[in-house]
Amino acid sequence: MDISEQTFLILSALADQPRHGYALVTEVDEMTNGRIRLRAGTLYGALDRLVTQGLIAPDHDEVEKGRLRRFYTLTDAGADAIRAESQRMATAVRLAEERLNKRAARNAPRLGTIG
Amino acid sequence: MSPDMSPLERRYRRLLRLLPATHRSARGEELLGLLLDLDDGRRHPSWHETLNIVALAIRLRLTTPVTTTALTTGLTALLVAAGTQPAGHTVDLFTGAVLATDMSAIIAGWPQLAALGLLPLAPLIAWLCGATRTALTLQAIFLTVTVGWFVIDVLGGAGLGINPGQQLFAYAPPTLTLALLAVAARERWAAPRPRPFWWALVPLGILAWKGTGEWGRHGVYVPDAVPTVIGVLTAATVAVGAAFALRRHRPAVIVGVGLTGFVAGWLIPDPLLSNTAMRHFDGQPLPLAILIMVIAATVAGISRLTRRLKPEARALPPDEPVLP
Repeated sequence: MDISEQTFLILSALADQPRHGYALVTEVDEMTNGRIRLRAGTLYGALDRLVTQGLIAPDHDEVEKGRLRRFYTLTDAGADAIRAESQRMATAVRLAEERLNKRAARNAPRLGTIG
Repeated sequence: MSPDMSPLERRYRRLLRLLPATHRSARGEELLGLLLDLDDGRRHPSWHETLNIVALAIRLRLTTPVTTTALTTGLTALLVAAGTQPAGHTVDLFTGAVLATDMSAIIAGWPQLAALGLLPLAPLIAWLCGATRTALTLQAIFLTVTVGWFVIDVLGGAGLGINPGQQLFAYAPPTLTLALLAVAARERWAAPRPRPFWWALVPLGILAWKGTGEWGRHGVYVPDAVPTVIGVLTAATVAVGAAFALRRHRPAVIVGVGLTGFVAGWLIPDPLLSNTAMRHFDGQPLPLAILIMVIAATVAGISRLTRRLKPEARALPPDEPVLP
């Protein structure tokens, strides 16, 4: 299953412990150094979709400062999805680095040549 | 709303009323809590979050079962009306629209004429067969060819005298069809049921368009009949729309509002309707599409009302004897 970067980051943020929506937004913000800031509507839609796909599940609810916070946890299917996507990306990174090394070797000055 | 509520919470609660009621009751408090956390300390919702919630509301409302049914019915009605029009006119060409002295030219070019008449049926057939992406691709090709042809005509000087507004209005049905097919492909919608009803509309639609040709030729086109037909169609559309808006109420209320809507639609002044219709809808597939939608919505509405009025028939499983 192909998953988007946003989905991958949400699932990764839930990998170590259950989190609620606001914690997910701050975690993704930290993971990407501020590059991706999830909006409430976007996160709501993504969580809804991921629950339907069985990749995450509601864990428990808490009320803090009069605000309802629903915690979500990663399911085994979600963990498998992150693992598969990580392996795919690692393979792609390795192939790209191999080619970059070949390019660097081709452009490196040869012994005995001028300039 | 309680008096202790902050202005931000009050404004966000008002904004969340855009969401469908089912989502609001199931997860509204969760979403509200998240919004208050994200905009903590503000008095007004931020523009980013507001627009994001509006986009979410549109997306959720587009995918409720009722909206999905209405949109797939409208899409199929448009495809039937627009797809059968060229075929109907082609049938009319071979069955009386052309003088006998000119028929030899028509007969000589029958393969091309038949192809031009039948090809526009392809998106409709693909949609009814469940091949939504194929229907989308075909519709995109047809729209591109049609618009491209028009652009070439305009650039070549053949576009003089063309009313741009009229032309844009003419492209509205195929463009709307393309947009709906794109949403259908993304949301994996299917053609509405019952399928035999929609398949039967294919030959009936072709005959209807053939009929419009006959109507014009044999002097049956009576100017006085047109406002009546348009008035009935408008009144029926208003009636169905009003009944649909109150579909969750009691059957008596639905029927009463529907009849009131019919009378209200009938009271719309004839000259306004006729002039608008004849200026914009002459030769367009939209009136036929609206008629098909009204028929489909009426049949579906009557079916639902009948089911609601007979709850005991629903409670009994089939072929089970009634125990004393």
